[in-house]
Amino acid sequence: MAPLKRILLVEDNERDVELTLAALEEHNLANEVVIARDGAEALDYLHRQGKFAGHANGLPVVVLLDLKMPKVDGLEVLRRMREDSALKHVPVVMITSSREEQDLVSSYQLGVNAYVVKPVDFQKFVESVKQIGFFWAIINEPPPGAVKRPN
Amino acid sequence: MKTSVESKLSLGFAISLFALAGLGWLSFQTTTNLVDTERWVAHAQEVIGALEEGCAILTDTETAERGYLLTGEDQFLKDFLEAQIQTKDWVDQFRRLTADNPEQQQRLKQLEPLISQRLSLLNNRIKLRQEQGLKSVAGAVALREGKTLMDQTRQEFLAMREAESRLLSERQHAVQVSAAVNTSIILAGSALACVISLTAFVVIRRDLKLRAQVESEVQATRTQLQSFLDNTPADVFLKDAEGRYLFVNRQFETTAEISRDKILGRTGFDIFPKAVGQATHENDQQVLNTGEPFQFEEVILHADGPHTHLSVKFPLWDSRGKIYAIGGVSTDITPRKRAEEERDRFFNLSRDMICIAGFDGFFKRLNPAWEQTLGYTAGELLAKPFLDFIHPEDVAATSEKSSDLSTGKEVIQFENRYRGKDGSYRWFAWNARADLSRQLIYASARDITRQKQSEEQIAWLNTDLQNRATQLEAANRELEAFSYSVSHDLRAPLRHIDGFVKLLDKQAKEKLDERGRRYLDIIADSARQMGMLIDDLLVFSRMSRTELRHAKVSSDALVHEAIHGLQGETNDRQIRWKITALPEVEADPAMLRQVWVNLIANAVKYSRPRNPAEIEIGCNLDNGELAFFVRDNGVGFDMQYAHKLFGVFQRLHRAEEFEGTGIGLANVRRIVHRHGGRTWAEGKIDGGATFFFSLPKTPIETKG
Repeated sequence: MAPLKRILLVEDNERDVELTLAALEEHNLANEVVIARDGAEALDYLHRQGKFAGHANGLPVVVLLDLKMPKVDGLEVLRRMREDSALKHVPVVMITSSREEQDLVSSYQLGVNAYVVKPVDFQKFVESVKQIGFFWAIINEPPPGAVKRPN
Repeated sequence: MKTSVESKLSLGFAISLFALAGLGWLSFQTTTNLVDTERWVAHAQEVIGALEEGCAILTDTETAERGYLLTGEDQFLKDFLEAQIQTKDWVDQFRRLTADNPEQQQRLKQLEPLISQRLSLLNNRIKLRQEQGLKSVAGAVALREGKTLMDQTRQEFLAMREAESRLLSERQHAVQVSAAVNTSIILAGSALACVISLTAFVVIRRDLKLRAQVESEVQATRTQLQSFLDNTPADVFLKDAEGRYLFVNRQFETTAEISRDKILGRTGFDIFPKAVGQATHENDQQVLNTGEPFQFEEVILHADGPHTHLSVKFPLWDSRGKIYAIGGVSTDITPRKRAEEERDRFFNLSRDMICIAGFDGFFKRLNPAWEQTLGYTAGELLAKPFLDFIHPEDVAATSEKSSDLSTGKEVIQFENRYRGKDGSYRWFAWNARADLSRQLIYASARDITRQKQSEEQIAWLNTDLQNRATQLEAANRELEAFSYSVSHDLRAPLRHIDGFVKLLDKQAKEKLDERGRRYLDIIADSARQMGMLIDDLLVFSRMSRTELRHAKVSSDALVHEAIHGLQGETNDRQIRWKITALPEVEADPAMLRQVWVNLIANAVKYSRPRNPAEIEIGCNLDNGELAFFVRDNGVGFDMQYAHKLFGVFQRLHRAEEFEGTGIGLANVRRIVHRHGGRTWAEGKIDGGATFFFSLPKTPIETKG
């Protein structure tokens, strides 16, 4: 099996975190998932500061980013990542409840790699998460600097 | 000039006359002189004749004496005595004849004694002869004695004759000179007469030529004058002091409708109705009495009705200071008069306030609208500077505009307030211009008080509207935020319910009985239902908020896309599609696609019980709008609920029969309305349904 790679899941809702992890687990993709509970934490992780100072080594192969979050929201996180030369190549997938066109447009303008609306149906949700994880963590070759877990 | 020519002419003629008279007189004088001289010549010749006669008589005396002496015949004595008397007569006669000549008288005095001596000698001898006979007298001495005396006498006669001959010759010479002078004078006179005649001829001929030229010039001038007068649009006439027409121009004939030959020589009484004739006469009298030109307006009846004329009559004076004629010019001023009346009417009837004001700040003329609007009399308005009537806040602006006007600028739509007599203010809107040469402002004002009030009201309403718009915008923003929350936050718990139900199902499947599992299914189904509701609501809300993007859209393509998208539903169904060619329209493609999807999906859904189902899609052109329709042979509906069809969450069927959220047709209506169209439906329970929507040919965007 190909080496699994680290996924950063940024999600403020713990139930969503649980369901997402459950979906990833179903496909054995949850082992290297780092969870940030808001935008600020996500940036801390990516910049190895605050709670994550000295803790992390290497960048995730993909950031699964919720849009609506307290403190720093998803669009802001995306914007700062794209402004940061070290982070601007890190793939970002928006996983959100919002179908709003405005959110979609803003996300793509800021350079998001994919935009996924969370289906209400759990089965469909599981399928979506599986495919995202499978594509970004296994099929896609991440930019240099991403952490790979030896299988 | 004329006097100079005349005086020259008179002088010339006077000189000529004087010269001719002088010559005439001279000629008379010389002729008289000549006649006189010639008489003297004749006299001299007479004297000479007389001398010769005297000599002859003396000889006769001697001859008769000798005869007697010799013969003694009485006859000789008789002759002698007769001769002796003749001699005495002759002396007397001669003395008278030469009374004018003292020289000859003197000689005669010397001659007379000689004659007397001779005669006495002869008488003596005769006496001697008578007494002594022939012998006494036959002696030679005696004879010699007589001969000497005779010679002396003859000598005297000769001297006298010589003197007289000399005189004759002198006189004859004088006659010659006098005749020559006379001839010269007559010749000179003739020559002068010729010169004068010739000069007179030349002068008179030139004068005649000049006169002819002047006359033709006068004639030309007269013709020109006639042309001018005949082509003058005014009536022109000339009449004598008795009122008889001497001249009228063509316009006069036209106005009077009488030809010239029937006017000339007649008076106003002869050619006009009595009243007109009288009026004409009175005007003439006025001019005759005052000797001044007289101007007046009169109404003259033309063929097309009465006309107003401005007439002037004036006297013409002769050289003696007497009025010999009256001239007149009468101009038809009817058009001007009418224009004036019209202007006055316009001025008086105008609802706008029209005025003429001076640069001195006072009104000069006002139309009645002023009194009507402000309540003052014209006198009150004219008495004070106009600034006194103006609202204190507007005085500065008004006086600025006044000075603008006095520098030649125009004033357009200037607004200020005037105080009425009742103390209230009226808003006026001014347009004005000034005539700098007259120092006058010509202005008109409109009372815009009501308009101003309306404007204020409109401004107030606008502010109100703006407030409402702001509120509405805020409400919209809130709604957007709400929608966003709904889309994001409301869906999350649903997802969680579904997710955890599924996880529970997985974890506790064996532990749950049939009923428990059914409950889990219901929970999951409800969550899904709720999710669909939320999604549809979001779409509905988005349809209202998103801006329309117009483009040319092929209705055919949209319909086919929509049918294709419904394949999932239609795969295991038998549906007969009947689709006619549809026109291209101008609309928002995404929204119009939604309309077609919703309507076709409905038709597919509600025709589910039919086998085969029939769905017809088409378009009618009706009153300039395109009416699209989707007809099915499905379950239909009760027309009494037709009005509910397009409402939000309105359903005519239970969810168990036909799934749905009740949003689809509401969306259709909203989209069609935003495109400026209408939606309606026709149907019958179990008789199928037809859903229509129209689009205007010219797209209109309306909000909401």
